[in-house]
Amino acid sequence: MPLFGGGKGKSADDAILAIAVAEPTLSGSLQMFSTGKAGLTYKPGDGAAFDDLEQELRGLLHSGEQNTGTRFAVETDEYGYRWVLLADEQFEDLAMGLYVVSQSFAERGGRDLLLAAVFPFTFEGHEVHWIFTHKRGTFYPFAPVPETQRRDNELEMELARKVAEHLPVEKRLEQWFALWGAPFDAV
Amino acid sequence: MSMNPRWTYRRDGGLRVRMYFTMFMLAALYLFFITVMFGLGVPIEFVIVIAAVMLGIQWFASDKLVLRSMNAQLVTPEEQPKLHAMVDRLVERADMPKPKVAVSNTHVPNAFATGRNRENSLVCVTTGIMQRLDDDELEGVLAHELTHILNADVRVMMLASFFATVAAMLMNMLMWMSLFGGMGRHRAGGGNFAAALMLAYLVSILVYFVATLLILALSRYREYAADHGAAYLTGRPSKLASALQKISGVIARIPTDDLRKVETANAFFIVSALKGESLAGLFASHPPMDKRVERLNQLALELEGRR
Repeated sequence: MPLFGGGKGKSADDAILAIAVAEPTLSGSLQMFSTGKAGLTYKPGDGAAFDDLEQELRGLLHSGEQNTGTRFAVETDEYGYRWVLLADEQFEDLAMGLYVVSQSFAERGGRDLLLAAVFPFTFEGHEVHWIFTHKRGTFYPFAPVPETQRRDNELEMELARKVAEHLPVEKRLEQWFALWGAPFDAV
Repeated sequence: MSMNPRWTYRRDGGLRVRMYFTMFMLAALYLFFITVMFGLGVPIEFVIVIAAVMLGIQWFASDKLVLRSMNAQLVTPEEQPKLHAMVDRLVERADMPKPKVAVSNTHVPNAFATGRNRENSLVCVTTGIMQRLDDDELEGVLAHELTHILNADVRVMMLASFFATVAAMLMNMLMWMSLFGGMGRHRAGGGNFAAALMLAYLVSILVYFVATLLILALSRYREYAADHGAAYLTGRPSKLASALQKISGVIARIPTDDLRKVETANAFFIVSALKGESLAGLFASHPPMDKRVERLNQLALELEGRR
């Protein structure tokens, strides 16, 4: 919430960039590797303003594809949430891309539509998603067990402890909601 | 391969001694209670009859009452094939009749068993516990609940708390009687009567308090025994240990719901859906989790050494 009205100010959105700063440590000493993809999900709004916003997003994504070679896809899931999915070997481009996308929401007054950004990683053969929620400005781990509707809570706790120095980890475990079936295959 | 119904205690002598000592103390306490009440001229027969009726209702309806209060539903093998298969395997190994199987639709991870005897018993798990545990861990939890049935724990605890219930009812009754007794001074020997009432009231409070402590201790011993039984029934104590760690304490605070579902729900119910539920109340009658886990890990070592 900007105190002095209007401007974008330094909001919780900037915290998403913390993962770009932390990534060298994650892949280095912690042996957690990005899958080369990332996604951002939001609730589609209605009205002309929102159509303009999505129009602008497409423009941003296309220029990103040309400038940094970041591939993208847009999908709608079974909950009716829209996903912007990015693929890039350069992790900073993924984080920066999602940051830019969330900034254009903020600029057009659509911050409340943003739900979360998801960064899938692998750790010792396990799939681990770092989920960033725009409302809280923090990250938490989500480790789905393949082919089940279960998550590996122990692994999540362990990883949260490990990255706590490097990432703003959500301290309230009650907020670590699952995000099943993010459509990363689309990109 | 048939099993002795009390096998789970045979294996742990210390536990059995402490448990029987607690039962003995309870019996002595209740005897003292009845003697004092008779001595003071309290119409205790009347209260015992009422309490017995209450107990009788519980006795015959315990499974239905529990199903109702936990919002649980009986499930068929077609609805929950995996759960039923697990129970089938365990009851065969324990050589006991198969209890009814129910599922309670709540995200709070929990499981329980009830029923007046082996033929009329019920085991229930919540959807929350099924989502959190893997198959081996769930099997450990089911084995724990089946051991409660094997050990007739519902019956033992019901009997143990019978006189505590009587004491609690007397406490209430005597409080009202002494209020009215205090007003009715015209009665002959009113002073003595009031004093006797007061004494009976105090003794009831004392008995109720001490009995509750003993019952909780007894309940904790039965929990250890059920952990023990589950360990031998599955041969994998460490699985129950990890299940206990998962469903208690810190990890239980991690939700199982999807963020998108919660966001949608929260548009209508702003606070409630985000609040965690506390299990503290349910675990009051259970031993501390770390002690149970420690014992199970010891058992795991013992079992390993025997192989």
